[in-house]
Amino acid sequence: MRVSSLLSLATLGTLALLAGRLDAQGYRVELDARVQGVSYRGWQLDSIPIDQVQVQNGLLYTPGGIGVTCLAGQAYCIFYRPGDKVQAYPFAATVDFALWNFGVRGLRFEGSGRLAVDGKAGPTTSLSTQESMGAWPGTKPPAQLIEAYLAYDGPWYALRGGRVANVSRFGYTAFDGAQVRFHEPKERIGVSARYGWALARGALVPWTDASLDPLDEYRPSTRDMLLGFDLDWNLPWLTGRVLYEREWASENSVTTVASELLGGDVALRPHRSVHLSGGLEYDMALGSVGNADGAITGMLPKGFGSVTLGARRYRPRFPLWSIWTAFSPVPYNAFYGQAAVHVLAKLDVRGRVEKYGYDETEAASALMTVETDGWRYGLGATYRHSPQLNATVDYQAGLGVGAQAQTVDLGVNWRARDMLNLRISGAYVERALEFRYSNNTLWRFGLDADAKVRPGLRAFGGAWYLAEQRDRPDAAAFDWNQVRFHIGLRFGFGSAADRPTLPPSILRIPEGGAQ
Amino acid sequence: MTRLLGIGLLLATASTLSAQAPASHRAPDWLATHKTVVEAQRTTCAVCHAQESCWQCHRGNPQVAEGLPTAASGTGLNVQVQRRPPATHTPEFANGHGGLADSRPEACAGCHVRQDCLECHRPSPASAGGYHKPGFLTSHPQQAYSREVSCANCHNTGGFCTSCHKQAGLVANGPINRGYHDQAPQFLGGHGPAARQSLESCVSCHVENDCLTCHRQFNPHGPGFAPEKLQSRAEEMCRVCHGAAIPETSRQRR
Repeated sequence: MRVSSLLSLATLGTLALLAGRLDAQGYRVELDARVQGVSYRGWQLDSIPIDQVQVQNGLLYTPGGIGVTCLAGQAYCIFYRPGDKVQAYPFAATVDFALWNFGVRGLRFEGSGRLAVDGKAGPTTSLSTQESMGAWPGTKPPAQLIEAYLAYDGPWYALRGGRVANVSRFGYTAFDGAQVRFHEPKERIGVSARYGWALARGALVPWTDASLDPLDEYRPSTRDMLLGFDLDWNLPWLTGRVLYEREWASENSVTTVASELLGGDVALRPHRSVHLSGGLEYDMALGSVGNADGAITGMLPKGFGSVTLGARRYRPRFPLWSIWTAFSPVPYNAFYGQAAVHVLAKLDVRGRVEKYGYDETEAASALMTVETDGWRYGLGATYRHSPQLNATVDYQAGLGVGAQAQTVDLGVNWRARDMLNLRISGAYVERALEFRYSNNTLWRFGLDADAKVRPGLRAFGGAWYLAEQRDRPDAAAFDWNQVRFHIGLRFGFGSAADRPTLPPSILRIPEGGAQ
Repeated sequence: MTRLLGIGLLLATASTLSAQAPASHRAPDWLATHKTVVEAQRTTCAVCHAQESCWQCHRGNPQVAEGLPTAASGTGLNVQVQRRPPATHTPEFANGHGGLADSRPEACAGCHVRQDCLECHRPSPASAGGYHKPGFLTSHPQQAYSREVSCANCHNTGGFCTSCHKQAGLVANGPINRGYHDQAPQFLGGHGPAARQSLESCVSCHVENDCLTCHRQFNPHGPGFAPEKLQSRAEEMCRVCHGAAIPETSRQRR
């Protein structure tokens, strides 16, 4: 039985045991159930006999006018025709819970889990399981344990055991195991350690799970282990954290390291209006710096706004058991500036510009020219007519490597205290690819609402009309229109439900509701 | 009715008081510095504010308000503050907050709880919009290819990108060079720079064997390749191409 299944059973068992004495229990539960309807169209690989191919202006086409690729010596030519419409209705029910008052001060049990299903199967099957895949990603496996851990906070230490998730410079990493943190009483400095069975990066299952392998690629047969250490400090003018994390798997007495990283973040506040922050990740398997960033932010006088200048570097990271690290992906380095200014009492404007460029790939070829740098920029404004009514407009563009896109988003929000939020929105998107004829334009119009049905219960939903044109210089171009919708409920209850005036987030905190 | 009138009167009073907030409250650094003022002049704060006032923002650590009376005590007016983000929280902050949040989680916890982070960092398949705007499906090739942010921090590339690309007919299924990259007719021969710049996009459609078909013969190692370090950690990966004959130079450098 897998560790995650054992943990799920343990969680359910604990809840069942505690259910009988919930009257004495501090508890808080939040349920979130939602469904959306969405569709998309991709491409379908097809072929025709070479003797049916037509030549127009020196180019090769199907009789229907779609461009084809013919390889020397092959009797058939290949082309991509527009695929069928794929309709999906993903549904997800998420529960967040916290239990405390076990008779031991500082002890609590927290967790989060999800049931996710797709109302319709997708058109293809997983190559690793030969089972039908959901039409929309994120619904496999259907039962997903996000977190479930016992936590104990002492005067100078904190313990967590179970499934624990951490969001850090290394991304979203979760594991089944234990985590301990020692700190001095005022928490100005602390050290942490964690050890356990790792989940895959950005996933709720380990790499060995078939849902992460739809193309039947190589995957380790045993689950990665994780070991990590942190050192953090929180001084009045300087805060920071240093992290070390190593993941490895042992299989047939051979140990393969999946990743070994050293990283850190520092935030410095030399003046009350100036903030500096930065950090980096050092990939010990490559012996070089991976992702890194640094920024200085200045607050303008009289609350006029803020200005930020920064630099960053991005390099993708792959598990070392795959071949991809050996293909030497190169990083890009970027410099950016951004500002947000209160131009008028009711009007805020903001802007951002970034220039980026890739390191030398040492793979240049005379056969093809590839963009190596680009720009990203954005402009936006928010007009607050009143606390209840505001309007926003944003323009964003990305020009350069691989593809180009520009978007304009408009929105008007109306809020009737905490009872009802309405948003009318519209958008225009243009997107072109660098290596494929595919120039898309999209118009979108939408209405969204979020209402407080009664204390603790909110209902939300919305519908958008999307009109998309996919332009190509052949007959594979098509128009694609659809209506997307989403509806949901969020319901919270607990042992301190007699305090409905508190914000929902406070009600989710044991300490907030218990005192 | 009397209760409604009472609530209305309280709200109107609070609104009026909000409009008459002291000048200090409008200072640009008020959010960052008010802690010191509260500690020194708690009684003054309590004239207008109750614990519930603080909780409008301090959702994650409500104990900071312990020095003020509760609204139920009736000693203060319980003026509700307008919950607003610090000036640093511009719309772009969503993309660049990682380092700050990592180094100063206590500062975030002043207002945020764990679930606030997980709203984005554990994406729900049924959520429409959110961190990504509703038209993202159309524009995502550009944002994913140029990696303005790291997609893999929240999305597993195997379970998220590849599975969807498979449903959309975008994965390479069989021999490569079928003309998908039709705007670059010589893509197969000249793809090197594009692949090294955005390998994550390549592997959202291509499997290892697509590349190894040729790259077992053509050396794929490029700038920054550290054979001794890689071999010491994942020798099995080296053997995929080199078998037992991992180049001697690598062995000597171990």
